[in-house]
Amino acid sequence: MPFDPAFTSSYIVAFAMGLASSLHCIGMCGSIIGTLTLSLSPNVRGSNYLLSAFVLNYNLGRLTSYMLAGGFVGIIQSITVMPFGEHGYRMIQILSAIIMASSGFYIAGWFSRFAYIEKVGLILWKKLEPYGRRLIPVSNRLQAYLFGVVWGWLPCGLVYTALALAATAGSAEKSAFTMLAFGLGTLPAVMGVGIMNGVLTRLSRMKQFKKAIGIFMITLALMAAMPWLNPMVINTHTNMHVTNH
Amino acid sequence: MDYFSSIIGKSPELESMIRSAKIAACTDVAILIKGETGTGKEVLARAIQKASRRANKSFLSLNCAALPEGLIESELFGHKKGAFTGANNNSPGIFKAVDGGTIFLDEINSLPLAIQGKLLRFLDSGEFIPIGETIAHKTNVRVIAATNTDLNRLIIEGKFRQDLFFRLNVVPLELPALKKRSEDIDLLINYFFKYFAELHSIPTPSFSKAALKVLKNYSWPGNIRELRNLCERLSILLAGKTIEVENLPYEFEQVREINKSENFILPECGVKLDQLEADLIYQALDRTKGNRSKSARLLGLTRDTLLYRMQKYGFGLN
Ligand SMILES: Nc1ncnc2c1ncn2[C@@H]1O[C@H](COP(=O)(O)OP(=O)(O)OP(=O)(O)O)[C@@H](O)[C@H]1O
Ligand SMILES: [Mg+2]
Repeated sequence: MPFDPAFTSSYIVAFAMGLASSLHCIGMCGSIIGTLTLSLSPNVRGSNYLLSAFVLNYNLGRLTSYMLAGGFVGIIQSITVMPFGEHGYRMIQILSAIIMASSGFYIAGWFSRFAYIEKVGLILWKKLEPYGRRLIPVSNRLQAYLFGVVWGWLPCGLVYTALALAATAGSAEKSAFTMLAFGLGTLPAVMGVGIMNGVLTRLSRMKQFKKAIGIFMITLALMAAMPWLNPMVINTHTNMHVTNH
Repeated sequence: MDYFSSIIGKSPELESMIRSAKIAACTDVAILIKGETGTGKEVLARAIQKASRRANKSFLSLNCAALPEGLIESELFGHKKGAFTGANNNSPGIFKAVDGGTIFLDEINSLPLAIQGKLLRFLDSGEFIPIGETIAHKTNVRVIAATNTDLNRLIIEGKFRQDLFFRLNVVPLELPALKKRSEDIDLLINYFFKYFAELHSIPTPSFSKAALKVLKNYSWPGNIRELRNLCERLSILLAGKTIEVENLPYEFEQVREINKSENFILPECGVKLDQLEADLIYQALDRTKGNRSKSARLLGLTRDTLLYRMQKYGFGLN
């Protein structure tokens, strides 16, 4: 394997990122989740079993799109960076760390301009979004899944941050799985919003909480830029040199 | 057709809110719009209605703060003849009249507690009981509510029902204050100048760079409504001209002063702040021939603060 990524712990990091960032965006994504659940027919909403099946399908759809995007980023990465060998890989790693740190500053409330990164996906979203709207009101599980697939492409700075991390995973496959890990990390907050609405909204409004999450993201970014700081990867890092020479 | 194009702005905060609104518009879900006064809550509510499947059905906007408390229940849910003094006829109420359509409940924060309960029941079951009747009526109405105060605070104060809040807040849409998206100010100005130029058949004015900077640093307590009014006033007063900082109305004075004072440099040897303050007050009074309101304005103080400081430094109040 030519590229054993220095940052093998990226699945764990991606999962942690998903967990932290989704708590932050409950305010924004909250209205979409609310729309999704409340637009279901009353007999679905009345049955816990049916409701969870629908909610699960929304989220499976979303995760599918995340994985697709991750795989895509992985391919792009391998085409553009491979020719430059380890240096190229290092560049991507630093770039990804910069994006991660910026999103940390954004979440903490110190860098609101970061939200402009959302413009990146706007063109694609404008193309996809009408299909999503045509699926409403969602009446069966396939539609729920498809709506989730569209929802996955909603412009979101934190998803792009996860993609930046995924780009450092080393292969299309690993990038896709990094995105899956990120998506799984977002599940507790997104699925829980119906149940713990009050708690989550209150938590996501607290300034100190946001700062803590922001600093957490910045720490992750530092570890991504300087893998030797990360206790979990020291071995693989030295291994990489061995396999590469 | 994009019904949301009437909402001017390109800032990420606004755009992501509109993305959620578009999805919510396709459903029949109740919506809660939050935002300070003048941020465009009514504009958004209308866009949502126009983009919904109820676009061709009736739309009614009701300001909950504008109706006297005693009247609001019968206004919303109707009453039977003789249910209370003055009820000379059967009245169906708005919820019945708008059947199939959309109702916009503005300033829902001022809805009396008793009626909040009735509204909650309606949202849960689609049913309500008119005053003086015993049988529930059913109607199919989509509710869009708006608030300009923090409902969480009202809940703590016991003035708003938490269950109603949760029921409405499932689809929260928050309109950002204008000062939080000052990058949209250029777009809005262009839009309003063009609009008023066409409306009044006059050439559009433009802002000088410095004036634009002052506008971007201003706090806009009246948000977009305030900006719109300013643009209309200046369009008429200064049609076709360049608007300088000096042409801006009084409210902008403070921002202007802040911008200027950036140039004040503390001398190497330091200053005696108390003495300097007393001296500045003296100069201001001297320049305005003792007019305290004008002096206060020169110093960026309120008249009361000036009077207080004059006393502090022992200036004769006459
Ligand atoms: N994004 C926007 N683009 C263009 N015009 C806007 C926008 N938002 C608001 N306006 C204009 O600003 C004015 C105030 O808007 P609106 O009445 O919707 O505010 P509001 O939030 O309902 O205020 P209030 O809480 O005081 O009722 C209106 O003239 C409206 O046309
Ligand atoms: Mg209004």
